[in-house]
Amino acid sequence: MQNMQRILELSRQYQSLNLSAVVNYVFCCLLLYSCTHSETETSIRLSPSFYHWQTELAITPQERAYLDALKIRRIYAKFFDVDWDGQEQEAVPHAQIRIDTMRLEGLEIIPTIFITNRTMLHLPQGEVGVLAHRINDLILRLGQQLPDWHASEVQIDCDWSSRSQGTYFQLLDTLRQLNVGKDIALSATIRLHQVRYAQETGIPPVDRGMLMFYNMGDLEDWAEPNSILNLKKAQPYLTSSYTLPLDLALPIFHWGVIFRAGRLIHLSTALDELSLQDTAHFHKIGPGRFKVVKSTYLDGYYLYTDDLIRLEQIDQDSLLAASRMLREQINQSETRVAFYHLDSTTIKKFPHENLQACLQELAEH
Amino acid sequence: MKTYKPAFRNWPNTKKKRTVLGKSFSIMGIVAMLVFLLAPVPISRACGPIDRSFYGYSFINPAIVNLRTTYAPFILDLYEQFFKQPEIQLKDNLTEWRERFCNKATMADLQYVIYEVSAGTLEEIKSTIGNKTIPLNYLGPEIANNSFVKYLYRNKCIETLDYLIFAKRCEPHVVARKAWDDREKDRSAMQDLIDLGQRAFMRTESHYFRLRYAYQLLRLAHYAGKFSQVLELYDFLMPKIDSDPSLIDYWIMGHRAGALMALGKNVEASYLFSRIFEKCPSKRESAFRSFKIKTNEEWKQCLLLCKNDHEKAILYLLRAESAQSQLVPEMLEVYALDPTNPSLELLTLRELQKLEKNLLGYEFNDKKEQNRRYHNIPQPGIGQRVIDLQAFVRKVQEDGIVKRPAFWKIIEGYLELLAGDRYYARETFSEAKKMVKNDTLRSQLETFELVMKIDTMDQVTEKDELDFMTMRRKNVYFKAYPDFNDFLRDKLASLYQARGAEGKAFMCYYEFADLLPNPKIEVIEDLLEIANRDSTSNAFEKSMILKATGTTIRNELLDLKASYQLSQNRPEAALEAFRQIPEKEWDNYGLYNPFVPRVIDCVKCPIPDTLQVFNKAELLQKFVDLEYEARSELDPNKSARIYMKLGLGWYNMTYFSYSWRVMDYFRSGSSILRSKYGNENNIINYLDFPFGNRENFDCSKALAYFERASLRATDPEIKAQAIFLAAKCEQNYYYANKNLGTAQTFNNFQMLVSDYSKTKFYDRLITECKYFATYVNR
Repeated sequence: MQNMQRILELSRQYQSLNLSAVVNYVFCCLLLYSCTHSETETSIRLSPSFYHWQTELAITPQERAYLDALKIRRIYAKFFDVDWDGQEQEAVPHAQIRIDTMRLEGLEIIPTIFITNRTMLHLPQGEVGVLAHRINDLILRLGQQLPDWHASEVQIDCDWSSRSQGTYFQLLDTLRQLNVGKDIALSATIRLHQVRYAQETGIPPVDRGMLMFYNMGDLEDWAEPNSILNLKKAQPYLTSSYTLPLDLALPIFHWGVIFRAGRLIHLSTALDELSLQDTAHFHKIGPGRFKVVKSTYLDGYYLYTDDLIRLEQIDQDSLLAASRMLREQINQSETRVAFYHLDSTTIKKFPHENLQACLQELAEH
Repeated sequence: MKTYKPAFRNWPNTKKKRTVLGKSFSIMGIVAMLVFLLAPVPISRACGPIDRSFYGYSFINPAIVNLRTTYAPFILDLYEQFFKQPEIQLKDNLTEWRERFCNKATMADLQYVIYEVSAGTLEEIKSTIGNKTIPLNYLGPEIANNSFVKYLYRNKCIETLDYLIFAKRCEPHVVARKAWDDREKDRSAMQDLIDLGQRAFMRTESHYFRLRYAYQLLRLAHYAGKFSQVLELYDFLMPKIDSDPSLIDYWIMGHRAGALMALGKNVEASYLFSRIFEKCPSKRESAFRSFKIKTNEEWKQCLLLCKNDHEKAILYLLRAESAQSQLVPEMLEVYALDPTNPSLELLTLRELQKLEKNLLGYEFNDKKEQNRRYHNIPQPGIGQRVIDLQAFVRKVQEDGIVKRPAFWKIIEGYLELLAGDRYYARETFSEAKKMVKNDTLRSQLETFELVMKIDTMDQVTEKDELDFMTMRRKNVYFKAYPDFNDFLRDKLASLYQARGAEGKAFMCYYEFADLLPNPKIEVIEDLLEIANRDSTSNAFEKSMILKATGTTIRNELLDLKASYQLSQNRPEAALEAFRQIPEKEWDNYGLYNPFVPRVIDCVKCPIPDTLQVFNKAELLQKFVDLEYEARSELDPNKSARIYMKLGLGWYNMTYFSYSWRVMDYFRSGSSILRSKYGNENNIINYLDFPFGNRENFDCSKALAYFERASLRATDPEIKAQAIFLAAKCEQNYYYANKNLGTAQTFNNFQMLVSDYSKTKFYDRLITECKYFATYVNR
């Protein structure tokens, strides 16, 4: 590591002396070499990983090959959701994971729990402990589907607000206490607004944060160019003063945003240009924008004439630009980079070399 | 031309609206009305969240359609019924049990035995029946006196009890679990029960109980995840049952459909769910949620499974039921297949409700900007939706197939009103009047006519005002539809505003007190105009300016006008306004002496009670007199002192000093800090004040007098005092404007230091004013 730092330093010096391009080229090659090796040997170590957000965790051979190509050893798998049941007046679990252990060998599965903010807003303080126990127990029970499983980390995903901060942080505290001495780290996802307004929303009492660098635009506005990744909007939210060690989550997903009568009515996760090629039903009205010209079913949803569709996806250039923007956010020597999310259609759109390039871009810290 | 737009239009949370439309002619009536009918809607004084809820009007009575139509709760969003499937299920099941047992048992007794007693108790009842030596009383009064148990005992209904005992054993495996219950399903036990149940099924003679066994078995297999077994059991058991139609048929169909869905046969499953949706209220909600067609091809196949056009129409009805569906295209399909389908009236009403929400009163709805911003209302393309529904309604009438032409005629008229076709709406309502025979429809028609009367009003005459007052008190529809109050008030306010009657427009929404924190001269003048012609103003207008005591608010308006004019640095205009108040009342509007000099400002410090105090008229006259004296005084130092006194008077009446009440009615210490969030840098937003709170930060008038005093004086002591007072104005200017980026200056302090450090006043300042001392020593 120290050698690498010296090489980088020397490289900078040579560049500043404006020596020959050959010398630069050699150092660039060295730099590239260092970045293309996972668990890189640059000044920071980037550890790539993936989110898995479906109820059925069953890795296909193609997915496994993809993970191996990227030397990925860690999967953040959503174990279940927790939402508030208004009728029962209690927090309830939904969409519990079913795990097929085929092709999971060598992969560390990090249980990730999505909790709605309304759960935190409604949950009485007195019931936080009960919920923490229930979450902990359910993680352990669902984890039993994996042979010899021991969680080294549990991640909680909640878009908390200043109003729900007290309850949420109390829940995190309790979860941490429940796992004292068990060598289980606790991490939490962090949204951009929570970074920018850290004074209002607080910093969660966890070991690490996962900065979710996506869903930053105005999804419900038809004029929004791309709500998944809108770097112009993201820029003011970034600050390098966040005190929690931050890992980074980057988007590689796509979806179709469907509008009816000016209002967002549906998100279709399986939609792409290919599915809208039928000109008898869809007319392209702009880049990534379509109009329904004849009512039809699409991806299991019935569309009416005059409905509008905006396709949102991430291209390689945007992903690289996002990576460049995020370099300043890296505040620890060993940073995990998680791509959201793993499924067959997503990985088809992103050859593993593209993600590798993205990691290189980030590594040039 | 008036450019002022009432700020209340931009204040979504200022719902404190006291209207004056319902005042009675007598004073007592007015008071009673104000107290009981026109009291302002109370609003929270706390810093609560901003109200972003939709604001509009609705005058549609859902009862004009047949609410007993079983899908009415779905289509009309009557969710209080929609979400009660478990209750409907329980009630329908018990009703069927009761019918099957010749109505001999009460519902409560049936519920007790079927849902509440344990399998052990049921076994005991069975033993008692089988053993003549054990009387029923042996089981205790609750069982012995149960009408259902008595019936079973008398008729030795062993098969019934066997079934109930079996059902009890199935219960733990099929009842929804608690959310965090992590016990695994005992699939082996479930299979044992299926086997046991099949044997019992074969032994059972009653075909009705065979049906119920079949239901239990299919349910067990379904919840055990054995979907193929569900279908096998269905094929095996159902041909062996010959019972009368029962709701259990549909419950069984539901499990079969669920299994088909799980096996990927969603077309067949969806067809079955559509049948359940139509025929079985106790499973309608779950059938609707389970109906799942994914492609155009599946839709075609599902239509092919339908046995007739009526069944096909139900498929379109299901698709129309989705929250975001476009109703008219689906209604056209339903109509083409089944023109007398009762759901058509329901769907029409639902679409009409949406159009009404988007369009009624749009022009004068004072929350339309809020509706647009937070609710996207009116929705794009809403005009086309009106046209589409109009076309449908006209087609239905032209075809002449429908059962209730009057209903469709009334809808046509209301659609014309929503579309802005006043003439046609009037004509259509007139035609509808001749057709209506039903009281509910007649009430709806008359309600719509009243809506039309208000909506189409282009100007408001004195007669209209009096008519509306009477209407508010006496019209049955005004009482039946609370939205009429808002609808009429908003319409009147818009008309008043259009003709420049800002005072009346204001009083439609607010009370006089709301005007005080930031007075609007247009509103004051308009209300004064009404108050000044007290004898000729009508009862409606009087209600706007009358206090509970029976006197008018004329004097308060004049006082307010005087304060406002003074705050605009117009003392003569202020005096002229205040003098219109009868002299004997002058002292009621405050006594002041703003001429007390203080080194340190203190807003709350009282002045010595030995000082002479002035009412506003005297004070304003004093200002005029002092101005004259200062100009005419030849001695420069005397003249300077007078100018300084004038400056002090003006200074002490600003936000920064103790006599602020001369020009204002509400002051907040936090305003200076919050000024950057306000308008024009001196109007601070407050949740409770429709126009915000205007603060008198401006010390320029005082500063001008202090500078004049400094220029006129030859005595360095007087000069030093004037310069120090000017320094306060300089400092306050910075405080009031620093949020705008204004830099702090110390020009007057600098002058004191460089030119007047030898004066006694300078020494006094060093002792009494720490701020100045710090400046000097910095």
